[in-house]
Amino acid sequence: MSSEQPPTFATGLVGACLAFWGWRTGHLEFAIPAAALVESARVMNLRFAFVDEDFNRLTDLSALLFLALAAYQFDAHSARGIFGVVQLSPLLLLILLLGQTFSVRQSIAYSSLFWSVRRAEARGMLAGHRVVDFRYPFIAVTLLAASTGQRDVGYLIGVLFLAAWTLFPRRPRRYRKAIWLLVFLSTAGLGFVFQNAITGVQRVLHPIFMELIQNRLLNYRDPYQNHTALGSIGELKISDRIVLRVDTRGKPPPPLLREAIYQSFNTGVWMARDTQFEELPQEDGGTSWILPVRGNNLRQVEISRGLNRGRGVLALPTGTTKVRGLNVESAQRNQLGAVKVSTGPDLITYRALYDPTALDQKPPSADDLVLPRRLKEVVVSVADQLALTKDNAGEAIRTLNDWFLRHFRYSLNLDKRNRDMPPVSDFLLNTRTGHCEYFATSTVLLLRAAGIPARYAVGYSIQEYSDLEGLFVARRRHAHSWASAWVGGRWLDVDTTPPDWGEMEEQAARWWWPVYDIFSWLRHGFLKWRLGDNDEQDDLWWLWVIPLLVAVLIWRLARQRKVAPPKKRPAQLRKAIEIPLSSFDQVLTELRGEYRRRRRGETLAAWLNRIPDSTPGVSHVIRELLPAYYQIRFDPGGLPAGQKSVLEVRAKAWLRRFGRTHSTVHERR
Amino acid sequence: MYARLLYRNFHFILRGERWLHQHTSQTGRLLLGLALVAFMFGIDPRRTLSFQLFAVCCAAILVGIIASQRFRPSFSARRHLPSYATVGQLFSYHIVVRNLGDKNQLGLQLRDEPSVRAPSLKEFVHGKEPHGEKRNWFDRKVGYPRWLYLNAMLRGADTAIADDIDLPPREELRVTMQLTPKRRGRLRLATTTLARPDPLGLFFAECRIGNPNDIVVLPRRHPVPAIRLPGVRANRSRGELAASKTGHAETFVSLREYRPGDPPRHIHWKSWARLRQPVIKEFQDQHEPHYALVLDNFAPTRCDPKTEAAIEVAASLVSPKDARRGNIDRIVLVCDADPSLPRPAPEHVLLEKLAIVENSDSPRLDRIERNIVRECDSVSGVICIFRQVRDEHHRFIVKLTSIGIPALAVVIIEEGEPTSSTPRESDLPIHEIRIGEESAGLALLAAKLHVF
Repeated sequence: MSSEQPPTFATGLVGACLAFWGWRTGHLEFAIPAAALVESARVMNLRFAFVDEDFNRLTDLSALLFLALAAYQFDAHSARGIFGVVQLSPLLLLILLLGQTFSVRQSIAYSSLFWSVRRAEARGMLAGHRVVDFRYPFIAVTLLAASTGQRDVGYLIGVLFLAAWTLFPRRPRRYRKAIWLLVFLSTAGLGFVFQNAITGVQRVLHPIFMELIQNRLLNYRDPYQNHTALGSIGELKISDRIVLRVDTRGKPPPPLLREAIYQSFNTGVWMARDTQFEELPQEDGGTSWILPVRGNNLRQVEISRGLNRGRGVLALPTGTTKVRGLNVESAQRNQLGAVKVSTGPDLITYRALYDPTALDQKPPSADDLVLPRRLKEVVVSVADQLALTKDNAGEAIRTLNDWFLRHFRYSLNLDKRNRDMPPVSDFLLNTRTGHCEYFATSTVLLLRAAGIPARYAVGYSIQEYSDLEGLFVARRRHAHSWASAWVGGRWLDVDTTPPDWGEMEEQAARWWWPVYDIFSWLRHGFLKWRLGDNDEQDDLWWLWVIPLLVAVLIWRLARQRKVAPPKKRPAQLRKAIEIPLSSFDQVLTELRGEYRRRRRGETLAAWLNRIPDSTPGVSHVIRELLPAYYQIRFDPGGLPAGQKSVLEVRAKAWLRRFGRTHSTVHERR
Repeated sequence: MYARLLYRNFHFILRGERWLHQHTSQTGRLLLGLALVAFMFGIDPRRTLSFQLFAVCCAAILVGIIASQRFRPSFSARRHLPSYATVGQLFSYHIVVRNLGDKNQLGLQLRDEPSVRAPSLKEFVHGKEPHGEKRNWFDRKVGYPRWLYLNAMLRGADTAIADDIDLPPREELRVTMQLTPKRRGRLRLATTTLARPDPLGLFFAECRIGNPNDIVVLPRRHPVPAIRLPGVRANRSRGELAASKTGHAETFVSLREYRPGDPPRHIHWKSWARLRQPVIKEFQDQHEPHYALVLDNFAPTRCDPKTEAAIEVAASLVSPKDARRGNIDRIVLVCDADPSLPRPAPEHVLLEKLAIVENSDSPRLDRIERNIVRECDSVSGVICIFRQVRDEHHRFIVKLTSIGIPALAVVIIEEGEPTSSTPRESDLPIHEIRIGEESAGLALLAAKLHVF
C-alpha cells in the first residue's frame, strides 16, 4: 500500500488535544504552554536539520524520564502508579513531538522509536527506512492520558469534539457537509449509547469476574501481605458466597474469626515482615494441634471451610489454644498468630478451643509503633486532637470507637476522593466515609500515634445464622479487618467499623442468593460425605461415575455408527439405470475377456483408455458407444426416447464387426 | 505440528491484514488501533474513562462498516504495461478506467492488485530470508519475519493505489499508477478495484474486476566496472596479439585518457597537445566473441537468497550498467531440463531468461560440460556462477580449462560463511562474492579479470 496518500492532518489538532488533556487532568499550566509551543511551529520558520541520531537521543531521554516517573509512581502508589505514569506521559513524549515539529523532516524513523528496530537497522537487516508521523501516537497517548482525569461527561464531549476536528478535514469529497454532519451525529449518539452499555455490562460482569478471581485465585489468604482497596474508587462489590460454616452447638459464636495479622503499612499494603512459620506440635494421633497460648476457661467452636489445592489459612477465634480434628499434613504458625495449613482435603472441619481472655501472642515490638512517613503528620495531629494517650489505653480505644461512630460513615461506594493526598489522610480529614479497611488502618495508626502498640488483623465477622443449615455462616462479604491493640498485657481486638456495616451489606445482597445457598449447602453436604471418616469410601467415591460414562460412550458410539436409511432415488434416474444394456454389456465382456479386468474403482473411460489402441474396436467403443452409455447411465434426463435404442443398435453392430460371440447374443435375444 | 500451528496462525493474520488493507483507509486503521488501545486501557471503567473513547471508536467503526456496504458501479479497466520492470525500481504504467454507468462517481480510490498466493507450509518451513541468521532466537524459531519476507516475495509488489478519482458517467479516465517490484519473474497484476469511502472516510466499499496482465520483472543489477572477460583481446588493434579462434577487428572506437600499461604507439599525439595530457586511441574488441554463462539454479525452495544473489550477479554481468560491452550472449542453467548450449541471444532475451529462472533440485553439470565441449569452437569463454564449489564443479572448470576454454567460477557465499569454505586449488580461477556485498564483489572481480 505504498502509494496511498497520507490523510490530511487537521490544523491545530495537536494543540487542541494537549489543551483537552490539561483540562481533564488539571495540568493546564503545562498543557497551554506546550500546545502554544507545538502550534507556534506553523507561524515560525525555525527548523532544525535533525538526523536519526538526534531522534535516537531524544527517544532515549524520553525513555529515561519514563523510567524515572514509573519508579516514583510505583514507589508511591504501588501498582496503581501506572495511571499516574499514563497521565503524565504526554509531557514526556512532548520532547519527541517538538523534535519532529521543528525538524525539516516532519517525521521520525521507526528505528529511533524502537530499540530492536534500531539494532536491526544497524546490523543491516532492514531493507527500507520506515518513518512515522509521531503526531498520531502522540494524540492517542494524550486521549488516553486525559481519560485518567476527572470523571464526568466532559471527557466524552471532548472526545467527540476532537473526533469531529480530526475527521471533518479528511471527509470524502463525494458527500455533502450536511450528510457528513448527519453521519457524525449518528456516530456520536451511538457512541453515547455504547458507553452507557459498557457501563451496564461492567456492572454485571465485574462482580462475576471478581467472584471468579476471588474463588480461583485469591482463595488463599496471604499471611505475609494484604493488598487493601484503600484509594479505590467506585463501588466495591463483594460476593455473597459462603466461605465459613461455624457450629457453636447453640452457644453465641465468637464475633470475629481471625485469619492473619500484619505489622507494617505502606501505600495500601499491610505486611508481616520478618515473620517465620514454625510447625505446631500435634497430639491425639496427629489430628490435634497445640498453639502456644495459655487459657483456662475454654470454649469450643466447629468451623468448616474449603481449602485451595489443599492449603489455606485457618480462621480462628482470638485466644485459640488448640485445634482438633484438623485433617492436614502440616500446620504452621507465625509469630503474629496466623496459622497456615497444607496438604489437606478440599474441605476441612476443625474444632477450635479458645479462651477470649487468654494470654495470647508474644509482646509487641518496635514495629508495632511505626507510622508511615507520608501519613505521620496527619495521624499524629488527629491523635493529638482526640487526646489519645498510651497511659490509659482502654480510654483511648473507647474515644476512638466513639469518634468513628459519631463522625464517620460506612460505605462501599467511594466516588469522591482527593487524588493529591493519601487515601487514609483523605478519609480522616475529608471524606470520613469508607469501608472496614479504612477504619481498621486508621485505628491502628491512631493507636500507634498515641504510643499504643497496634496491628492490623483480617478475618471474618460472624453475624449471620442460617436457618437452612442450623449454624452460623460467614460469606465473602463478611470478610472484615480490625485493629489488634496491646492492652493490659494481651492483644485485644478493636473493631471501630460502625456496627451497621453488616446490615448495609446485607441490603446489597442479590436476590438469587438464597437459591445459591441451597446449592452451596448441598455441595457442602456432598463434600462432607465424600471426605468422611470412611477411607474406602473416600478413595472410591468416583466409581459411580464409571457406569454413567460407559452409558454416554455407548450412546455416542451408537449414534455415530448409525447408518442413515437409503434415500429414494429420483424416478427418472431409477428409470435410466433400469434401461436394458445387454448388448453393451456384451461388448464390455468381450473386451474384458480378451484383456485385463477393470481395477477396483476404475472408471469405464479410464479402463478403455488403458486398453491399447491397436486392439480392434476399442477406439470405436470410446468414440461411439461410451458417450451414449454415460448419458443413459448418469444423466437424470437420459437420452431422448427416439435415441434410446441407438446404443443397443451400435453395440450389436460392434459385436457383429469385432465380437467373437455375437451370434450367441442374437440367439439369446 | 508446531510449525503447522504457526503457519495457520500466520495465515489467519495475513488474511486479516489483507482484509484490513482492502477495506479500511489509513484513518480507519488508526481508529481501529486507537480502539484496541482504549479497550485495553479502559478494561476497568472504574479506573479510567477510556472506555468512552473505546465506545466512540466502536460507534464510528460500526457506522463506517454499515455505510460501506453497497457499491455496484459498472466500469471497465484496461492496463497499459511496459515490457519490463526491474526489481526495486519504481515503474509507471497506465490504467484506462471507463465508467459504464450513468452515475457520476466522485472521490473514488483506484487499486491495482497483484495476484496473491501465500507461502505453502513447505516453503514456510524450509524457506530462507536474507540476514535470517542474524535474527534473534525467537524470530528464528517462530519465523514471522521469514513469513513476511516469503509472503512479500510471492506477492511480488504492493498494491498500486490512486486516490481521489473522479469518473463522470460514460467517460473514461487515464490514471497513472506506480509500482515497485520486489522480486524478479512474472508479476501478475490480477484485479482492478474501485473503492468508495464511507462518509467518515474510515472504510471502503469496493467493486473489483478481474483484469489479469503479466509483466516480466528483470533481476536487480549491480554496477559493474568495465570487465575484460577471459579470452578477450580488449581494445587492441590487429597484429599485436596472437590470433584467436574467433577472428579480429581493427576498428577505431574512441579516445580515452591514458592508463598505466597502455602501449606508447597508441598515444594520440594531437589530442595530447590539445588537452595537455596523454590520450590513447581505443580500438574495438575482438570480433564477435561468444561467452557463455553457466548459472547454478539449484535450490531447495523458492526465493532462496543465495540463488537470488547468483541471478543478480549474472544479470549484472550479462547487462552491465556502466560498461559498454556485454559479451555474454548465452546462459545455461545447471538445473535446466534441457542442458544443451543455447544459441546466442540478445541482451534483453538473456535478462528475461534470468528473470524467469526457476529453482530446481536436479543439477546436470556433466551434460552441460559435454555440450560445451562439443561446441567449443563457438565459445570464447565461460563464466560460472555457483552456489558452492564441490568436486563436480571443480572438475567442470578443470575440464573446460584443459580444452582451452577459459573458465571463471564466481561463488556466492552467505554473510556468515567463511571465504575459504570452498575447496580450491591455487591455479583455479574462483572468485567469491558475498551476499549483500555484490557491488564490491563485482568490482573485485573486474580487477581480477584484468589480470586473468
